[in-house]
Amino acid sequence: MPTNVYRVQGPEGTVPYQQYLIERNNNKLEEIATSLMKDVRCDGRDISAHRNLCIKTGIVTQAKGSAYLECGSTKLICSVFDPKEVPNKVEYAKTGELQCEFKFATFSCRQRRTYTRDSEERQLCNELRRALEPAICRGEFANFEIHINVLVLENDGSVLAAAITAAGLALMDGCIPMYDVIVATSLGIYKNKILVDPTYDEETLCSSTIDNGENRGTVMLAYMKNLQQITEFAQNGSMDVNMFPEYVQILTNHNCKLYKLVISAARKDVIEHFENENE
Amino acid sequence: MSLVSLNEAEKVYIIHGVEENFRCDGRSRQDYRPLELEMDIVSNANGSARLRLANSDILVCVKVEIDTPLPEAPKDGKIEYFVDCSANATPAFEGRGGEHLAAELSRFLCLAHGPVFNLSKLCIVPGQSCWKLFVDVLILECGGNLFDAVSLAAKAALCNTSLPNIVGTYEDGQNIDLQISDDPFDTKPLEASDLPVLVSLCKIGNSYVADPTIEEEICGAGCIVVSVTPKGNVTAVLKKGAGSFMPDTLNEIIMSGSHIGILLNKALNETLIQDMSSNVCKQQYGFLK
Repeated sequence: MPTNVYRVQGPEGTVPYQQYLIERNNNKLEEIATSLMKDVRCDGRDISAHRNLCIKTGIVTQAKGSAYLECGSTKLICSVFDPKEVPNKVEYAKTGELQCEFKFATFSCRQRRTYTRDSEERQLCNELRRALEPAICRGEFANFEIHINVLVLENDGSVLAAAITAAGLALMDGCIPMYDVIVATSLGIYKNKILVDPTYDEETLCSSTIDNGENRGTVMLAYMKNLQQITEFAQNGSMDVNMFPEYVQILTNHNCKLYKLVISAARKDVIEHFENENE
Repeated sequence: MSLVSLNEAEKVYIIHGVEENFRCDGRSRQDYRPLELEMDIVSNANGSARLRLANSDILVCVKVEIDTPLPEAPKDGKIEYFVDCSANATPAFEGRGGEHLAAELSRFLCLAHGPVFNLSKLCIVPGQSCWKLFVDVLILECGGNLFDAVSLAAKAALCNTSLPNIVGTYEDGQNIDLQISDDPFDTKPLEASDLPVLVSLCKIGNSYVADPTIEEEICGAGCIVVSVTPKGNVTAVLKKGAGSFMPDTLNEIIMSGSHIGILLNKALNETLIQDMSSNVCKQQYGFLK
C-alpha cells in the first residue's frame, strides 16, 4: 500500500486489541440476539422504531449547502459545493455530473480507518451517487459538476441511509434544483425479525454467516415520496425472494415518515431565512 | 464503458422491439444469449474457467496460497477478488479507464459470495494457518452484461478449484510446519456449487430484459443486478445507471431475476457435472476462438 508521507501514520503492523476479544464480542452479539427473540432491542427501542434524528442545515459556511445529521450515535456531515465546470473535458455533456466523496473519519469506527479510500468507502460513494442522480435536475447545469462530500464522524449503523438523507438536505440547503426530496432508511433482518434502522452491532449480527436457511442481512432503500420512485436499492445477506415486497413496503412507509420530518426542517429553515431578511 | 453510440432512431427501434417482446437478435425479453464455457485451461492456476457470453470474454483463474488467519476469525480462511479490465476489451479501459468498473465488480462479487461462502472450509490449523484464495478475473472482451458473465465464470472457476491435501502438521514451539502432498493429483475439490450467480435486468421502456447487450444497456433507464443462489435466495442487489424504479416494478424485477437465476444456476451446475465426468479425454480447443 502506498504510504502518505505528509501524514503521521500509526506504527506499522499493529492490530487493534478488540480483534482479540472474540469471546466478549460473541457474547455481546448473542445477548443482542436472545433479547431480539423477545422483541427487545439493546437500546430499548421498539422493533419497528427509527432512532431519533437531529437535523441541522447550513453548518459549513464555506459550502453552498450543508447538513449535519445525527441518528442515534451515527453522526455525519454533508456539504455540497457550487456547480463547477468539469476540468479537462472535451465533449459537451447534456447532463451535469455528480462527484461524490464518502469518507469515514479515521476514528469513526471501532477499528481505526486509514486516510486512503478503501473498497467499502468506494462502494458507499457509488451508492450515494446513484441514489442522488435521479433526484437532481441534472439538465439544469449541463457540462458542470457538483461536489458532494460526506464525512462520517461516528459510525453506529445505517450510515448509508443517514448519508443519503443528509445529502438530500444539503442539496436543498444549497438551492440545487431537485425533482423531489430524497430520504433513505435501512432494515436489518435477523431470523425473520425485521429491525428498522439497525445499529452497528445489529448490522454485524445481521450480516454474520450462519447457514441455516433463515433470512438475514440488510436492505437499504432511497425513496422520492411524491414521485413514488425508488432511486437506490441495496441489499446484502441471504433472503427469500418472496419477502422482498414486504421489505420494500416497510421501507417506503418509513421513508414517508422521514419525508415529513425533512420537509418540516426545510420549512423552518425557509421561515428563519425570511425572518432574518426582514430584520 | 464502450465506444458504441446510437442515434435516436436506433434507440426507438430497440425500445419498440422490447415492447413487442422481440429483441434485435431475435430473443424474447427473458432469454439469455448462448454461453460457452471451458474449464481447467490455465495449468499454473489451481482452478480456471473461460466463459464467452456472446461477445463478452472472461477468464477467471483461482490461485491458492497459505496465509495466517485474521485474529478476529481464527477459524476462517480468506478469499480475495481482483478484476482486471484489459485494454484489449475496449479502448475505454486504457490506462486507468477500467479501474472504476473493476473496483465495483470485485466489491460486488465479494458481497454476493460473502453470505454463502463458508470460509471455515479453508482453515488448516485454527489461529495458525489457512488457505487464501485469489480469484483473478480478466476481462478479455467486452460485449455487454459483464456482471453476469463474470459471476458465472467466477463460480465455474471456484468449482474447478482443488486444494492440495495436507499430509501432516508438525508443531515446533511457535512454528507450524505443514507437509503438503507432493502428488499434484492428490487434491480435494473446493465445494462451491451453492455460490450465487448474478442476473442483470435492464429496464427499457415499460418492461425489462435479461442479459442486455451493450446497445440495450445504452437505451435502458437503469439496471438491477440480483445475486441468486441455486435455491433461489437473493444474496445481494445492486442498482446500475441513473434511473429510478417504482416499488412494484422493483419487486417484479427481483422476482423474475430470482426465477432466471435458478435456471441459470441449474444450467451451469449441469455443465460442470458433465465437464467433470468427461474429463478423461477432453478435446482441447484453441484458447481464444
